[in-house]
Amino acid sequence: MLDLADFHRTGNRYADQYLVSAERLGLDTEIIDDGAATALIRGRGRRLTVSAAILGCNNVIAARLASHKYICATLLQENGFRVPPFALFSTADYFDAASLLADVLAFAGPRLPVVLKPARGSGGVDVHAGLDSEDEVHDVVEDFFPRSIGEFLAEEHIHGRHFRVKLFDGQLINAIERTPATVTGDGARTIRELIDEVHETRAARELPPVHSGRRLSRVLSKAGLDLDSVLPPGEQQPLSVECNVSTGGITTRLPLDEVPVSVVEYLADAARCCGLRWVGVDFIVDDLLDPAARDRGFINEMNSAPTPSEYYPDRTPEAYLEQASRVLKAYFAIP
Amino acid sequence: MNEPRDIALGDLDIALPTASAIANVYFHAAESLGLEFRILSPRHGVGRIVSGDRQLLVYSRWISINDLTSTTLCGNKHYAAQCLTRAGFPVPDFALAPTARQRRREAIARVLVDTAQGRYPLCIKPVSGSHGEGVIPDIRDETELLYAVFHDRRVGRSDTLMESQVSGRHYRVVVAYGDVIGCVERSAPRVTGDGRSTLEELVTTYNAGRDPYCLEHANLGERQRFAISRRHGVSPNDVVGEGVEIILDDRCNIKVGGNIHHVDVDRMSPEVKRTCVDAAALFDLEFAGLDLIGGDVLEPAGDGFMINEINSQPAAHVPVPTMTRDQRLAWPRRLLTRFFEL
Repeated sequence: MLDLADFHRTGNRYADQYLVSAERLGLDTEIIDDGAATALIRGRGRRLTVSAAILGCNNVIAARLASHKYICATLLQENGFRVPPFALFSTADYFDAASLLADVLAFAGPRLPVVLKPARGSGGVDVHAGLDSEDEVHDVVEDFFPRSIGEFLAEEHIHGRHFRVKLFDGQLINAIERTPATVTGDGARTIRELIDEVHETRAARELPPVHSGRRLSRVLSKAGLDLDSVLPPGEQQPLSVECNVSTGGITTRLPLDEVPVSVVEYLADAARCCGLRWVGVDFIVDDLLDPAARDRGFINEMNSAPTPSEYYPDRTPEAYLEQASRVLKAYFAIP
Repeated sequence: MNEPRDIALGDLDIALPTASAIANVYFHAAESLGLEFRILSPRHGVGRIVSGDRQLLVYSRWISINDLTSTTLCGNKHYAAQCLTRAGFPVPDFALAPTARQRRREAIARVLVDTAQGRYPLCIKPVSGSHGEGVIPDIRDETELLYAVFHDRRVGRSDTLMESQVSGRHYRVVVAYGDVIGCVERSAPRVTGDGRSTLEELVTTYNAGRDPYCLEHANLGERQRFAISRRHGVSPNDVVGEGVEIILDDRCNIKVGGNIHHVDVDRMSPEVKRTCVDAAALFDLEFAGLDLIGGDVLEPAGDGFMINEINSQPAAHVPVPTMTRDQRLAWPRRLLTRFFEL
């Protein structure tokens, strides 16, 4: 079984995964800045930095561009990749929320449901998906404007399953499906009590709790429920539209040998178009394992600093280090 | 297809075709070389320049040449100074003050004062940072060091690099693909008294004479007033004696009111050029800006100099008011020529 104490190098779990993997591969490691979890890995005539989850193999500007969702989507669209229809807005461009709302609705109104999300950011912070009425769009804009959230995107909400495909130089490193947090009714406990149980389970696995607040209320309200509702036995109720682990989402690993080559090639081309060697591509499609997925799916985002692991129960050290090890082998050309 | 744009404003390349003046210089340089470019986001100064199967992404002042590893290594000023020293390059004496883990100002002050023993005059700078932010040069004694700690909240947020103060001329040398493609001399903002005007009036006159499109104003902030008072015994409302020169800020950055002058790279000392190229290569930087302090770079061997910093993302254009449009495009043209192997 896995004992994380054995892996402590900088204190950042992702940097540590890379560093321990490097050691096991016979590469030299040197910690440059302990506080920033920054280290250098050397060997076979090459070198590579690690700063927390950020691996130094990507071009620095390509990584910056990818982190701006509007610029990234524009770059992909310009090169013929399928992305959800989108538009950019900024709270800084408006004197009042009403004018901003009018412009957002001019784009979003004919495209409902839509997603509103900050142009920068990660972990699903301030991402509102599945807004299917003008009132819901209004509520989010009314929330964004006084907080001067800056640039944000409105984009068409694409229905489908959410996948993250990690690639290094076009080589498939991992593929996962991301699903929203869900509770299953037992005919006795309220949704609030079921969420408490989910929190306990997640806390034991060092996972963040399910996101509460506005987004949870919206999802329950649409289903005619609230936190005091009792679900019938076996009935499942999603708690969010968003799938991020940081908002309560769950990840499920896919069999890598079943991911169609055509899909991998398509996403690898997208990564190259963005100038990224190591990337996590967020792809929305009904079935990633279907060879037709490349013609049906939408690239939602490109992550230039994907983490080298997800949580799986009963991990072995080898499984914990698998992705980091594969990336390092590819970078340092280790057979 | 390139987007329509107005280039009639010539030197005032702040205007078009994107919101970023520096990005525009790249696009104009690409156009002058017959390279295809496409603006992806005028608002953000983003576009790509393409030739054959190569593409260069431009994002405001940044271009997609260096990788994150090189940037990370030279972005950590302590690590970079160690590497340069080990490789035999001339750098100021330095020491690391581990301030990042200190939670209170008093504790930060104690670490800095202890590290500074026997090192005055010195310069302190955050281990990671750019544009002169958090850099406080020419600290001459413990009083000035403590003043810095308790008047600038940026001091000690990250670990602090403490360097011996080096006097001399300040240069930024830009290296691309093993060659020096540009050089400017930078100088600190300064005024000269006329026996009638107060310091504040002299600064106002100084700022009024600066090109509003590319040079930022000098500012008589609290720290500057403190340093001027100690060096010259002058406060903002005092009349400055005729011919008395007062340095307004010890830093040379344009952002603090510094000045900048074009240096002809063809006349630069070959030794200086070689040192800069070799130092960039040490970090695998294909494109780098090196800050030198010391003698005249036109003299043999540079007349003695130190490498103060290496910047992995320099601007390929500097706002020298006297430069012509062609001079402004010269650096990026050289860079693009090498990148696309034209």
